Amino acid sequence: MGKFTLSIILFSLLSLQVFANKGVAKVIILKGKAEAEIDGKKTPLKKGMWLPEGVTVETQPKSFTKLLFVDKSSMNVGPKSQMKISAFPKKEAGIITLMKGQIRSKVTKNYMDIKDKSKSKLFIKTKTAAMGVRGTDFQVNFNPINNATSLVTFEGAVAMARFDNLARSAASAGRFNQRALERVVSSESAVMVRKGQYSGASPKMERVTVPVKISPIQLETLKNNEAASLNKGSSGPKKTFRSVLPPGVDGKSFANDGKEMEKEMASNLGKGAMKEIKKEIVKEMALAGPSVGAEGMIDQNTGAIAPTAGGFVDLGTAQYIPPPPGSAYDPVADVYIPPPNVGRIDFETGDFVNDHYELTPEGEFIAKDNAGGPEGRGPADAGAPPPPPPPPLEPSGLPLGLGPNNNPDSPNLGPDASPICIPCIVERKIKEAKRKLEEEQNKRLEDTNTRVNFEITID
Amino acid sequence: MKLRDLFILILFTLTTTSIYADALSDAFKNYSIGEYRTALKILETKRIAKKDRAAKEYLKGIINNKLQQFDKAIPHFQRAIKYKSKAKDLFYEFGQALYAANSLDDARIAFRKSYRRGFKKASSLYYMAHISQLLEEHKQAKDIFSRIIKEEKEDFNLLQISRFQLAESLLAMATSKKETERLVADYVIPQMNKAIEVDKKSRTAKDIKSRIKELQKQYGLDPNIMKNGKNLPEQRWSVGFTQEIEFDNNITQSTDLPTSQASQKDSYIYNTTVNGSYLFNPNNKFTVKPNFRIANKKHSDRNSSTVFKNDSLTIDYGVGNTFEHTLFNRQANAILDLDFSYISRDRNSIKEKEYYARSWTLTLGENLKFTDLGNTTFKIQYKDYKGYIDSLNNKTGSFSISHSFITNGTRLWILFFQSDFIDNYNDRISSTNSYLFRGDYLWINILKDHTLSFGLAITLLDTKRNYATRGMEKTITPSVTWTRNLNKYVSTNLSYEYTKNDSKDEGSYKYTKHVTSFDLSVSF
Repeated sequence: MGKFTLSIILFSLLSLQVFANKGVAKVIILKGKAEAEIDGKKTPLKKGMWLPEGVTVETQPKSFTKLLFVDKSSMNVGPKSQMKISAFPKKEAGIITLMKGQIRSKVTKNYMDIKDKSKSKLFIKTKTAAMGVRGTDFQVNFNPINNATSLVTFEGAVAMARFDNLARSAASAGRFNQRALERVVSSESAVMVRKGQYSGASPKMERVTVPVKISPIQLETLKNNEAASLNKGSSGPKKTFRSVLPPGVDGKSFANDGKEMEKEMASNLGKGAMKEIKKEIVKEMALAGPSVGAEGMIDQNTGAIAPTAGGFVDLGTAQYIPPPPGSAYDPVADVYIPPPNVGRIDFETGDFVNDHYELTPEGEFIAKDNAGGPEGRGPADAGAPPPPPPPPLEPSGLPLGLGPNNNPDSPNLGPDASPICIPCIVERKIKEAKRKLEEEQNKRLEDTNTRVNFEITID
Repeated sequence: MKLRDLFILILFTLTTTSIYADALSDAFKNYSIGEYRTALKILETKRIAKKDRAAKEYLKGIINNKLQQFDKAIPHFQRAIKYKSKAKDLFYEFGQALYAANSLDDARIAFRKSYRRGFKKASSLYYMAHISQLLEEHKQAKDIFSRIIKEEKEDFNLLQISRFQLAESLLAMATSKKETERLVADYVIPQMNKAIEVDKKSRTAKDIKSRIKELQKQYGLDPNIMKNGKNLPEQRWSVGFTQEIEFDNNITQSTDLPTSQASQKDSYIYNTTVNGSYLFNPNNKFTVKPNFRIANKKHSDRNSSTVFKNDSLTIDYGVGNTFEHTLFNRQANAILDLDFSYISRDRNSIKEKEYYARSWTLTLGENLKFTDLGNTTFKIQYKDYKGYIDSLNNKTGSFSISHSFITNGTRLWILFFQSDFIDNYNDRISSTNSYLFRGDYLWINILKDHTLSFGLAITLLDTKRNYATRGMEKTITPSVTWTRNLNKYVSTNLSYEYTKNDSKDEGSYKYTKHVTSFDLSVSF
């Protein structure tokens, strides 16, 4: 099967130039059902079919297609997704619009026709974000309900910026070209999302989040499996574990810094080999580029937010689930590890899973219908009540310790801390009314007294 | 053995050792860049030299921990121990896997070994203490937490959380004893306060503070919660200042009739008020609230004596007391207020205020909740008023009832009725009975920090001995107020009030007036 796929790809590559005039991308893999809308006409997608500029591709649930572009870039369109090849000129960067779902793209490194290598090789836009692809391998998810966009880069770098209303209306009117998009992704508020990093955009945020590392488990699973979303998913919930960290303690101070592991390996592999390994690790780490601390940060001046590193990306809702306070710390990957009650990564699909709660597009965890039922639970925790739901998400997944519910200095917004003192208002109003009445009575009394005395004097 | 065979054997051994070592180094490299699953796959699929098997199992255990597959990590750690791994952190990682997998007894043993190996001693001890707590072995937990507090000098977070948990263990021990409340007050809460002192600004400090509040509530130790559950403000004192500018178009209350000889006088009025109070709550059963209020009124019209003679200075002081109890299973309080008032006025129109009257008032009442629809207050009141001349003296008996209820979370209704029976005993012709009906509707936060309120007051005045000439006088006063809270301490009010008084004696007592006012209040 692998050889067969390889030969198809090779054949397609060779024939690309020959058939280029027929379209800009060719369907090289199709699983399930998908449609192409060309000039307003819908046609079922077929393997080997050439797609022209302006085509909209829509995949059905449990379906997936891989497109090979004339520049040798490839793009996987995930299930329940809709994307449009808005432009794909020969000598300029292409523009892809993602209306819903997921695309995974591998852009070729030798894009010889573009002279300025610092410019984007391909643009991806959603309703809330514009991305200029400078590297090779990345995944974009967009949810049309909450209009959230998530980007995870596996190789190279992708510039990302918030797509504001003005730009969006210009884009929908067809007045948004490569130069305009380049301006957006090169603006002051744009970020460069490098290998292993995530950034997100949503209408609730003024700018895209500062890139942070996601859970290394999710990154690795997604990276190594291009069509992971098509996988069935591991069956049934996993065993329920306690958080590895006792409540209230500092994740970093309880973490194993890994020095003992290095010593142990050095004694087995030898010091020379360890030196070589370290060199390779440093080289590999350099590709990831700079990143803010694992705790994340909020820049009060610019409003830039970096969520806590190590969280999960929920591919369906395109939201980032940051590790909550009390998460353990992984010094090897320099990320926090969300505790088991937050959820886990499905090793088959690479998607975020919570066995008891479902994440809504609004960022709340609601109990699944089968949560607590006998069918939806493994033998390890049979009969046990489901754990409490994880806290709702902040719009951008605020950093550890900086969320409004977590900051010790922030005002308590709980029900007991209502700023309105109703008894005080009632007391004040009644006192006022009484005082007025009393004043009125005194005035009347004086007045009557004066008049009566006056009348008596006259008499 | 021939030399050639020996050479082949050495070469073979070196090659296979190198291949095996490559697998381990590959796995370690992948582990180091966070590719845990790849590292695990290498260790599972490639052969590793026998001498490295302890390292392999140890690495597999740690990777499974990273992947949160604690149940899978445990057997690898067990094998690493069996193969005599010397890794100093082995028992710590093993302990964490066992702890996460709920094998608490074994986890505690592993952390004890980790402590003995000298790896993360404080954290290992903390795990041991915490597990002892989970296993409800509080005496043991208390001893270990005490040890951490004694030994740990640098990690303030650990020190703080350990002291906090020590208090929790003390609490668990106290609950099994007779004098739980005393033990909580004397040992548990002071220990928690000590924990807060370690780092007052930390998140843990915030958690400890809420825990203290919880305990105080549970054991009746919260100074801000009365025995009947009523919450008192943490800040016991309050001080306020208000400056009001009022425009009254008919200060003299002159009749509107064209035949009237007295003309209507308008003026701006400057009302300055200072007030303060302090709340005591002995035994959490009573509240005692001494209070004062000083109000100065000055009219801008300095030419009409009928206007500026109303300049006044009023000093009110008193003490409000409540007895907090429950009625119909709801919070209620009995009220006993004693108030004094001193009034000076420019009664001789000499632009100087002189003693005008003084009074004292005794109020008895009950504030209760019949239903969840709001609070009802009944009050009876006796007032003795002494004027600068005997003819002003009077004694007043009053009865009032008020009810407030909130709808939609932010809409407040206040209904109020008061009847006053004024006996002007030295000049009975001035005696009156008055009946006030008042309703207020407040829309709190109509906009953020803005409140809109409407009020309507109707007063019926039984003029008693003057009934033949004045009849039952009726005053209607609708009003509207817009309040804006500028911040926690400062608010402004803009209000308009219309008054219409009807009397049988139209020539003397029938009048209308419009009062518009703006005030700025500062209260702490």
